[in-house]
Amino acid sequence: MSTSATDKSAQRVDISPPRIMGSLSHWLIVGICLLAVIVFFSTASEDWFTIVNYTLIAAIAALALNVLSGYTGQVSLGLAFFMAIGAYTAALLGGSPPTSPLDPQGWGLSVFIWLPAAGIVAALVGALIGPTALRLKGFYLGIVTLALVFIGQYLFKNLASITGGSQGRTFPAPVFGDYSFTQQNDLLGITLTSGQQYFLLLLPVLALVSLFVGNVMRSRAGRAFRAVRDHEVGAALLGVNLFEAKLGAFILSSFLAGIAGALFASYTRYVTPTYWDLTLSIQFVAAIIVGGIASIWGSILGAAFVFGLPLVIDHFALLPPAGNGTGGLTSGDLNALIYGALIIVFLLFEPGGVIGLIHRLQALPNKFSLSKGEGGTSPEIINLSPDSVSQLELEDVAPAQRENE
Amino acid sequence: MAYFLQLVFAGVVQGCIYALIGLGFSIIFKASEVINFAQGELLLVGAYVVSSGMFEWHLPFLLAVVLGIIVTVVIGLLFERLVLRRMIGRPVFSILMITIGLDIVLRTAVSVRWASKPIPAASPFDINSGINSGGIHFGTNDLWTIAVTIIVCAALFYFFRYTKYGLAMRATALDQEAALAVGINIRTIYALAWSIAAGIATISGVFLAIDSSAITPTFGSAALLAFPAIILGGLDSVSGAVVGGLLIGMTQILTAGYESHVTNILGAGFHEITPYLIMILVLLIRPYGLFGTAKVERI
Amino acid sequence: MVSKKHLYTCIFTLAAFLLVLSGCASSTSSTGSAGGIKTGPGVDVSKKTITLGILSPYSGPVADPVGIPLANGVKAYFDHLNDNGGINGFQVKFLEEDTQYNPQIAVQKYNQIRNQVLMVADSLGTPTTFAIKDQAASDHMLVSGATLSSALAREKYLMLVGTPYRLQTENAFDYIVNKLGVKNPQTGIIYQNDDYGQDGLTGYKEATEAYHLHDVARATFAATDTDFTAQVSQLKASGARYVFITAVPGSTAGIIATAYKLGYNPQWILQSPAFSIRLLAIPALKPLISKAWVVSQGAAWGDKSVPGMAQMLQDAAKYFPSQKPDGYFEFGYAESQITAAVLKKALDNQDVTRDGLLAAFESLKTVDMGGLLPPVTYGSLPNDRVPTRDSVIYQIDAAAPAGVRPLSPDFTGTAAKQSQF
Repeated sequence: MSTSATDKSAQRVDISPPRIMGSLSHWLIVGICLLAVIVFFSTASEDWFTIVNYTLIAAIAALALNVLSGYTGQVSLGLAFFMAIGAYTAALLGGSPPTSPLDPQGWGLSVFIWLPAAGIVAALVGALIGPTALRLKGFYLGIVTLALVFIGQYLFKNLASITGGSQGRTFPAPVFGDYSFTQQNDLLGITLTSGQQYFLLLLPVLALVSLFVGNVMRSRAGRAFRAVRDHEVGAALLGVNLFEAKLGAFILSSFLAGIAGALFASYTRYVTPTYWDLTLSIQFVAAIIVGGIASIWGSILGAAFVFGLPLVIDHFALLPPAGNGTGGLTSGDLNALIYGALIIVFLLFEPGGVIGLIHRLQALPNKFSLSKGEGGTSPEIINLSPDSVSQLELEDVAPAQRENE
Repeated sequence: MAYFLQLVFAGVVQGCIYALIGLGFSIIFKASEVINFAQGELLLVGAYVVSSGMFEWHLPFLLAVVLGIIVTVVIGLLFERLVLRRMIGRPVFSILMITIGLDIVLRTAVSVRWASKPIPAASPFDINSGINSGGIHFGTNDLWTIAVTIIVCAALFYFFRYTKYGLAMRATALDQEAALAVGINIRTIYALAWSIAAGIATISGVFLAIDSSAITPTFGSAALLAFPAIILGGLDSVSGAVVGGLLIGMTQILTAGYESHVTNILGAGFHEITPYLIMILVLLIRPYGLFGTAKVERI
Repeated sequence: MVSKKHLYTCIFTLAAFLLVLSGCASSTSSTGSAGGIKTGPGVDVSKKTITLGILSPYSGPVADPVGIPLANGVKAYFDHLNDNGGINGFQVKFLEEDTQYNPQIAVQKYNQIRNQVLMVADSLGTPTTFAIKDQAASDHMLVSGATLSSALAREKYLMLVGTPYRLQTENAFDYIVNKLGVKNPQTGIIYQNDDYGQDGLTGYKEATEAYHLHDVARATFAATDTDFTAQVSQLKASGARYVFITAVPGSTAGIIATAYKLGYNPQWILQSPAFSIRLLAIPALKPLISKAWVVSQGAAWGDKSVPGMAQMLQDAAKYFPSQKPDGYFEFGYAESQITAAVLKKALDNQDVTRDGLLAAFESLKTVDMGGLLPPVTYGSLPNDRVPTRDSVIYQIDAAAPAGVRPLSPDFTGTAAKQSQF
């Protein structure tokens, strides 16, 4: 039974919550998807799991960035910093207790504590930094977030008791009683590899996060975020509390980034502070641009492109790894070249990202939305500044009330 | 005392290099509101081409520099024409990202062509040539860096104030639509802005390279510190870029010279972040930088 | 309804993609036995090949001074073996992967090759080796680690080769104090602010205590720094006479050139990766650097008095003609003999499973490398798993084939001997 907005009245927005399970065809499609996942789960080799797992984690981080930059329009190059905060919180809470005075600290707590705590601590740091940082706009904010990454690296290299210093440290893997994700375990008679166990953890986490972010964006808060992005002055005039909106987005973004960071570090097992660098932040910005700004599926697809695609290319070994020392394309160079080129190509020709591309390919006479309730507008070209929006010429208007300026 | 003064001198030299990089930024930003994240990699390409010119193709130094300038100007013009032209009217974020894309592509191209091994920096001076006075060494290349920076600033000042194109560029920076209305060819202005910026990038790259004697593909990251410099000074202020550059250069080197005294409290590597801390401090007081103009818009 | 369809089209496409992915799943190779010999993954008895993995940075700043030459050395040695009948008739092949010195990528590459190789013949880098060690242990996979972290000595499946940086630094100062007889010298260190630099610093600190050095200056720089005036001024003002450099060649050039500019001329001692023969190709730098020392390992390139040298030179010329004389090439070449010894022993035992390799390794005792490196002995205790603690102090010399000329014989200093792992 169709309950979507009728094609003709594009102005009427249907805000009833989306019905997920409709007709038989829906059940069939969902069933096929489930089957595909099960087939993948049971037959894929470990390196495919590595690719998929990293993509899932990257998707969570991409969602975090989309919340702040895609939906709320705040330029941020600082994702790596918040991911690192989450990762080191997880390490401190969940890592094994030190066996020698040189080992970093670890309190050996369970994954049910360290994973949420990673997000919470990152969110708290975001709450601390947010009010100051968000006074700036545009490029100024971007460079301050860039500064955060470098300041973070300095802190992490020096707080050796938590981070292991420049030499790095091991990060905890989820442990349930005797079962640690670092080794193969038997569950109900089936042997699960490490990759499979992580997959079982990551897929639900990503699903939860996606649903959560989707819900937030359908709510009043989400509309406030978008209002801030599209036209700050207009939003203020409408009664949106700019400061609360921006700070809320910042905190939510930091929370998700913290969780993603903890998962990244846990899966990689050992990370040095130089890992949380500017390049990592930029890769996520590339991911949301390529995938689609302000879009849940866009974040996931973007993460797949920027993180998964290079791994897939390497898997099929299209290039020998070795440069011969006098130049020549190494696989590392090729990866960088690919996503540099992808950024340029997408920004030039398809600013809506892959999602925008998909929508355009499915061009229909009527406007449609990805899922009901996301504002009902077509996410074609997302403008992040007020300049591109048609101006409202208001005469005798009082200076805009700017919150907390 | 000599220790302190030597550091101040080195800070001024480093600051001049940051000022040059910042100038390149400022010019592009003022003319077209584009933030060129790739300025560091233009610097890198310039330095590499000059070096290859001198050591691989055995050109005299000045000719190699001219070659470097030509190559970077061509890259800048091509990018401006083929890529940025289509991005007019897009939000700031997108334009920033596309220059980041260029940054990545350039760095990879350098790494592919020249590999990651260190190659010698092109320099017409001996390493230790210079004036020694009062326990401080004033290197010839350092003095030349300061001199060239002053010359470039003076040249730009003259250009903006007294030439037709300079005037046109200032007009474009002030109000694009009005400039179009009076018949200024915006396309030429953009191209000019990018050419000047690319040329300055190569010059700053050459001096930066001489300072470190050898260059590797990560060289361009040194230019990252020019960002705090221009933010400090104000994105749309040319004099701000110079002041910001000098401030950042001195902060970095002075901190590096004295941080060993406070290693117990501050740990290692504090000088890597003092420029950013200064920048944040300034922004807290003046959100648009020291000389930047606050954005006032009609709604 | 329309929007739902498109949502599910997306999911469907994704599902189809996953299906394709799983269709591409490579089968897990299993152990088996054929003709009385027990085999593990990577061993093909019918074609008589054994496949080993190499996980090394082939791009990035570590690639050129260390990663690529070392891998070339490994390959050169096995090319030579293969052309001479292989090991017990088996040819050795390699699966090489570029880790870019990034632990996340290392994990991915490891997982890519883990079912196709019998062991990892070269895993370069501390963070990258740490990232894969748990999975390797779970796979019972032996890893030959070109990494110099002490903690790895406690890992059962880690085959350490080479003298750790920490011990290199200690040996360098042993040379100054004990061999040259300089009592209580004024010393300093300038190190890169990352995990590599930290290793050098740790060794420096240990050496300071062990040899009663007068530590007057410790300066640090970022890998991306281009100006070293501050650091060098600090060293100069402190009056350090012997300064240790833990850097990569690009930074080494800047440091030494700046010092010369400022009129500061201590005795420089370079950590082994801080030197590259390409530094001698920088005309301005050549005279300056020729007074510096490098602490490294292995016989001098071209030294014909060493039995294994002639063969190595021949193999280098034959298989890697463009390879310049390089200490890391020699190192990779020499330490492959350990890998080869492990394989031979396992083949002799008719057991080339992963567990068979481990057993072979643990019973290896002493391996002779034809004088290229001193013989190594392995045991099962952590202190015995650090096979080499020795170093050679070289003088940089443009006239020597590899750019370095030995000043000292191969030796192990007192501090290095006693260092605990």
